[in-house]
Amino acid sequence: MSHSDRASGRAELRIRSVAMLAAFALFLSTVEYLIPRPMPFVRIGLANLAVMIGLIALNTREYSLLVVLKVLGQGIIHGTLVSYVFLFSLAGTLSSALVMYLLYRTCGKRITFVGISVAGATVSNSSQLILAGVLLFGRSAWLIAPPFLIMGLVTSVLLGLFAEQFAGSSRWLADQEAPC
Amino acid sequence: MLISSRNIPMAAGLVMLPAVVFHSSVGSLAAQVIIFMILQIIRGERIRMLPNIIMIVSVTALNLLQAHGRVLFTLWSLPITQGALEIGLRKALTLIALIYLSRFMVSGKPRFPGRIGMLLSMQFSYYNQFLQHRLSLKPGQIVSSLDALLVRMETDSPDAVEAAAGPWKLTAVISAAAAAAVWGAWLYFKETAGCCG
Repeated sequence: MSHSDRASGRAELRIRSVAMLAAFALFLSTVEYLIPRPMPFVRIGLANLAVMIGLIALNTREYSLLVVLKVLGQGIIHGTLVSYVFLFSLAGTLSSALVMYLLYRTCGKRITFVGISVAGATVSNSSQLILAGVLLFGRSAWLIAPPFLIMGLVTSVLLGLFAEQFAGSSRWLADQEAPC
Repeated sequence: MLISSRNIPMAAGLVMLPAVVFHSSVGSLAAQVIIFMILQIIRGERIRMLPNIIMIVSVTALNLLQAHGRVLFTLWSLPITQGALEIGLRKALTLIALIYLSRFMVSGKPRFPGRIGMLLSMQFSYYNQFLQHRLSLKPGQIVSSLDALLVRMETDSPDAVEAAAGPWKLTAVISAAAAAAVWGAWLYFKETAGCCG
């Protein structure tokens, strides 16, 4: 097998990893969609787990692709592509993905996945609250802020702990080539 | 054919979208929501009313906290105003209408062009595999069983993209009828508001 064949084979495998993690995000968001919610915008953010795994396994370009696929895929699967819900998903995912990426790349081992997860959830929920204020609730949006942010804090700590455990023991992650 | 059969609902949805988002009254939005629900029933899907009711009640209630326009009545010292009630209902109904419209638009499993389109197809293929293998995830050993599933799926190749959408003529007729009904409702309520409001 020539060098270029090997290189294109590796590229193909990495693209498949991106698609697989994006599908995993979709799967988790489907699981979350089935869980009854006390209010329309209170959410657990399970799909963020796939994005956190992407931080370890993917390089910057692949990670960006994963984020785009997560948002588009959720919009298509849940049928929210042209609704406000898509805007909420877009704002939440882009802001949290960016913050988690910056923290992971700049702080390295000085920050745990719990810290990354909490920061991502806080930024995501805050951006969604601002959007809710602009699009739906007006100034009354601050009324839903406390339960929304507290719920986000609790679930993000749990997700962070899960990601920490996954990162420490995953055979799949160990098999992935280190991102360039 | 000018538009692939998979993309007919997407195209029809884009035609209907302005009727939902631009200057729609509460009446036209309510009519449009009913039309979209009928479309969902025609596609053989269930309608879940509870999320819609929760959405309407929560969005409207929160909007009522900001008094606007004529006071209709007072509820526990909170003035219920006509303007706030209309704004809340309009926002909630727009949200519900857009959710149903989105579902209709993607019902044909549209194909997207380019590299992202190819990746989306691959993503949906893996997603189907996740759904098929979901029972292999053990609640007690969620980390290890999830890891095993990822390892297993990496060795399998993604399935081919699903089969084509249903008969295109029927899809086209239903899509055209839905677009006409949605715009008809928009025009009817606009005329009514013009003559009497």
